[in-house]
Amino acid sequence: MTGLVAAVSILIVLFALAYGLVVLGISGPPAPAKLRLLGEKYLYYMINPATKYFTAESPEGVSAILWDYRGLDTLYETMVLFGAIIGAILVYREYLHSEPGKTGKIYGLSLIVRAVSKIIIWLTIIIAVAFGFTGQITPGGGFVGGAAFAVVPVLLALVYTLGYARRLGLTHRRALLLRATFLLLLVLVIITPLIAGGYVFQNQAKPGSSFSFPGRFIDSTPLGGSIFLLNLFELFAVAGAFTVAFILLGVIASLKEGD
Amino acid sequence: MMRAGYIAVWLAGILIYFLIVARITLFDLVVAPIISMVAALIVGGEVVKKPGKALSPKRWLYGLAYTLYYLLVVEPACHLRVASMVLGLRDYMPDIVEVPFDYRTDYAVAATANSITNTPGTIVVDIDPEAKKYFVHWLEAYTRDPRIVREKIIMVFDKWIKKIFED
Amino acid sequence: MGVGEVFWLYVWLIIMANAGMALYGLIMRPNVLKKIACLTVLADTSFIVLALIGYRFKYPVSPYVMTSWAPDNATLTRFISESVDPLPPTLTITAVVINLSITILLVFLAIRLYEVYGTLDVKKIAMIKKELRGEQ
Repeated sequence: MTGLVAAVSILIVLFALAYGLVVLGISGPPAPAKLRLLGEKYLYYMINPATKYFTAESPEGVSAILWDYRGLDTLYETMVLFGAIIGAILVYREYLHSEPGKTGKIYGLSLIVRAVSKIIIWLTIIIAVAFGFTGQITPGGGFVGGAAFAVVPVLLALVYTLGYARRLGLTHRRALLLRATFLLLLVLVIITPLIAGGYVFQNQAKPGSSFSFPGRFIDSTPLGGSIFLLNLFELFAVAGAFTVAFILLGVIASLKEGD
Repeated sequence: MMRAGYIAVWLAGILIYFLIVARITLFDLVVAPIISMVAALIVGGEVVKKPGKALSPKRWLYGLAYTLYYLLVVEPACHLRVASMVLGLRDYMPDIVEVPFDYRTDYAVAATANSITNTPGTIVVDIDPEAKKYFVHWLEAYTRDPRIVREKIIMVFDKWIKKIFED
Repeated sequence: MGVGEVFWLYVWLIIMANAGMALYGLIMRPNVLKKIACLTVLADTSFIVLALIGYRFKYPVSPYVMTSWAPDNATLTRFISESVDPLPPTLTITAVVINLSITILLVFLAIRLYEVYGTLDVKKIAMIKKELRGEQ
């Protein structure tokens, strides 16, 4: 019975894909050489001094769409992410108050791996934070930077063990605090235009509201207005959220070993 | 002394930021110190313990010279050796041997281990930091005498590594 | 068929085979961890399809990043004639994040499942549940 269900559902999916292939033109490239109208409009308006009411002041297309044109989508996406993290914490909330054994000695991996990992962790932090700071100019941005930053606690826990990471001050409480603080800042950026008499999620000036975040730095480097701030806060919020999840996984693992 | 370590890491981080973005504007000049500061505050004290050594240009020059020497002289020679073993021109006797070392810093230990592993024919399998011994899988293990083994495996790198990371 | 058509047929067949295998694992493998892994493989397959849809098969082609920071009309026209579509990458990044959060939640639930039943095999879990019901 299960085999039949599996076969039928797999066949349905493959048939749908094949149908899409036929519609798109079988065995041809999936994308047309000409740009679609929607993409063309985004590219035309995203950093255009001539169209003051439509510009996002960001030369990077994906950041402009993520945090300006379709900002509410991204806000809800962020909510799904934090909802999932909160759900994960709720499943294991009894472990939040438990203390894993404080070992005086560092176990973890060998001396060589530890010496090299120090430098890797340092470089990872620089690259991750740089993603967040320059997301409006070059590809990258808050989510990518945050996910890259989350590699750091994983490396710390794997290479140096969780006890050492805790001694460095990396606890789930601090990570939760980081996440909550930057989420609050994110929401503040979103509602600031509303307080100033504009619209929610407003970035540059719109008809009926002249409020706009600073679009350019002093030397006219694009800041993307609120895009810069939102990328930055998203970076630390996502990093905090993933750190909580990984620390919790590590705590569960270390307690299971102790049994 | 501790604070100087953070500053060394901070300055190096700024340099790395500009290597990544490959662009110098006023925005980058303002942002780079902040980004580097975040990284330095988190790991600075661990990465650099003695800033005088990290900031010494002599050690950087030795590092550059060692990289060139390693890639252009040591590694081709080892490649030729292993290639002749593969072709049957040279005998081989694979075994795991103990190699003693006398480095004091983590970085010297790690750099030597990586140098050994990266040359064909030798791989560091494990390390005993207390007894100061590498366990090396070696293709020409005709002897187990620690003095000779050390001479054959790590003496090629030893004087460079000591000039870069120790002394 | 030309070389290009054979190439694209090959690419599409690989994508379909990938999706088919992921679905097979998702439905037929009893281990929960394998189900989760197959789910991420399925999601990654859809990201590849999205990336292919967003690309432009022409020359020259450029990324969706404007290099001029105060563009005039000529620059904009040239940019639009070269740049790839920015919308599919945006959808991909959204989907990646959602996929990641779902995976994290599923992994935590799987750990809980293992704690409660002592196994990750859904067939064994069903048997244990049946036994428990029979005892009551």
